[in-house]
Amino acid sequence: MKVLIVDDSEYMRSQINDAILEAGHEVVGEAVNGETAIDLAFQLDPDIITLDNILPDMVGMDVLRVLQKANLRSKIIIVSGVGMESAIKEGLSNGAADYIVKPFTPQTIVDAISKVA
Amino acid sequence: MIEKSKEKQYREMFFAEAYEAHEELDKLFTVLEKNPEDKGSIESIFRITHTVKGNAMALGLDPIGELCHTLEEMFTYIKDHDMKLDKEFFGLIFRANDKFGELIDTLKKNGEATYKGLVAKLELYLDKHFRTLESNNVNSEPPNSSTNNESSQELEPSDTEPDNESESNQPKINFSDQVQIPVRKLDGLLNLVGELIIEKDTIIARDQNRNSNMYKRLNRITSDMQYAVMDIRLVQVGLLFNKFHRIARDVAEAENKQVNLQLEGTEIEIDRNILKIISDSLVHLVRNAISHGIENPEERVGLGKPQIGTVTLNACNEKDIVLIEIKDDGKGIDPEAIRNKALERGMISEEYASTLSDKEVIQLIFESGFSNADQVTEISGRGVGMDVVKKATESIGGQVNIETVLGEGTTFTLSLPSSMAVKGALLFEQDSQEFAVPLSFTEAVISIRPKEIHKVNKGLMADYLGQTMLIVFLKDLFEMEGLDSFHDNGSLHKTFDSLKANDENINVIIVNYNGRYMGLAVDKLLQQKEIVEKPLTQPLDKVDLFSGATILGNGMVCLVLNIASVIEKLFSERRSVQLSQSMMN
Repeated sequence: MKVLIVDDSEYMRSQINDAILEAGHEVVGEAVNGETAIDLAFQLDPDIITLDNILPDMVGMDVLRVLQKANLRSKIIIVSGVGMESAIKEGLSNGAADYIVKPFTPQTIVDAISKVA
Repeated sequence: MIEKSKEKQYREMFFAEAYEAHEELDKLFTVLEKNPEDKGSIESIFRITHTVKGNAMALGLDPIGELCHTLEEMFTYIKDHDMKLDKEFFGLIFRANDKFGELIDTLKKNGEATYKGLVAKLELYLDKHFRTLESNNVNSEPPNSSTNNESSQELEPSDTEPDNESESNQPKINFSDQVQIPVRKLDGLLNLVGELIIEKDTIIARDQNRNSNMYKRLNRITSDMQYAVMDIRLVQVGLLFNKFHRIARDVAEAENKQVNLQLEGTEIEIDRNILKIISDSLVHLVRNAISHGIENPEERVGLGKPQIGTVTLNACNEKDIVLIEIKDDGKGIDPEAIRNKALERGMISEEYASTLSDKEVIQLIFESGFSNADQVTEISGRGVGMDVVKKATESIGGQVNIETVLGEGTTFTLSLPSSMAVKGALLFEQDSQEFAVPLSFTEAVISIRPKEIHKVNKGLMADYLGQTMLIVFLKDLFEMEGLDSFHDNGSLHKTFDSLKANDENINVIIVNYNGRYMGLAVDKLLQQKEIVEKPLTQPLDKVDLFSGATILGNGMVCLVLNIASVIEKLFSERRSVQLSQSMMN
């Protein structure tokens, strides 16, 4: 499975990265802001994108909408510190394949990937 | 179907135009940021983005097409609805123009372009701030829909340009009065002309009837041709100056300064390659002027200066030379600070420092090893120091001067040859061989009696117009193993010691470099001539006594003296403290 990680925190990126590698998937790219995330989503054609909801230049929900509208085949898993019911609902209704609330265990990420793939 | 070669040509034309558009947009965005109500700029931006979009789509350059489409839509709203333009907006459009530049570079090389992220951001901005208006009174293309699909239809780039509409409906083919020529072709042409002139001189020199009318005509025609070729290569300095609107804006923004950039003499013309060589230096000088020269707004107000600082780029002609000034009304350079820093870095000794005038101290900023500033800011400290600026300027036979008044500002002046091809030179003979000195370094030619020359320490001195001046016999320099050995005792006295008191007068060429004068004693003065100087090839390019060579009419190679490096070495403070000290008194 080819995965693109989008998160502005280096710590968070390495957490997700380790979990994904551990489970035998491939990390094809990392993005630290919305603009690069969209660029890489088009360029790398990943199977899965893990998307942080609050990025320095955009909110994750906007990135999600752009990618949905472009009909990319990538499945998007939102990884967010915001765990409110309404936020989760909004994410899923905008086309996210899953919604993970931080903090999470590596297993949560791995499970989510096998679930949506 | 367009033929392959035609298509290639169209692409080249498109990219050339796109570069111009990219630059123009930087300028217009800067103007608009200062005055967001400026209808003229808004109109121009709209027109440019519209044209570029159309052409890009026609050529299948979708990334540029999409980017410009989004910009065009933004400016349609602004044009029709007087939208309020905020800081975020300007951040975005400047970023968009950077991306535009990037895309030109990438697509030109058929590279892979990423741009979707930025377009998405622009679209989001449109959604949030502009498209919230009622869509039925917005007269624009369907926002956001299928930017890709319209490419094939939208071929006529000038369909909305009003000036064409008034003309008849008959299809009409317009031919541009301009031709675009790649620089390498011009370089080739210039080289050929240089060789033609040398060949012509050789032929004429060999013929007994060298004053015949036929040769006069040949001389005139080749000389006219040479000037014509030089003229083709001239471009207006405005071409470079205009890029600085954006640079100044970015530096000022990053440093929290307020700066107005003034351009003067943009119509002055200079060889395109010279402009290219000094462009990095100019960027460095402008950055420095803003980040080190101009004070913070509060500080300026406190000092009773206008809150907004001014940086002026000015070009003017002086004889064959183009002067480019970079002037700021900032804090000026403090000679004490320079003196201390040079001491701290061990560039000069305490003892020597005390003998330097303020003016000489300021010159130390051009020394390598001075500029790698302690606080490397993103703007000013990129390892490019003033020494690099100086080297670049001198590599084309130019000079850098600096004038600074504490509290009032600093002016850097680059004196540049307007053309690299041909330079005036003074030919002279030394040890039965011909050499040349570029006229840009010569001040005067005098003849002095041996007894007017006096030994001082390691050097020789003579009076010139009431001032003492260092005299060097070129023969002595030639006999040294390298320029560095002139400080060996007596090495500069050899020829002088062999003279007899009643010997003939000595020919001296007075040369000047960066305000330092010296007299070069040579065997015989010949003539003044225009030469085509060619750089020396390896390993001769390491010889610092010569900058290049030319071929004379008699077919002989004539070496061109490198005055800058000779004076530099002789006056270099660490090696020749005593010598130059005695010079300055």
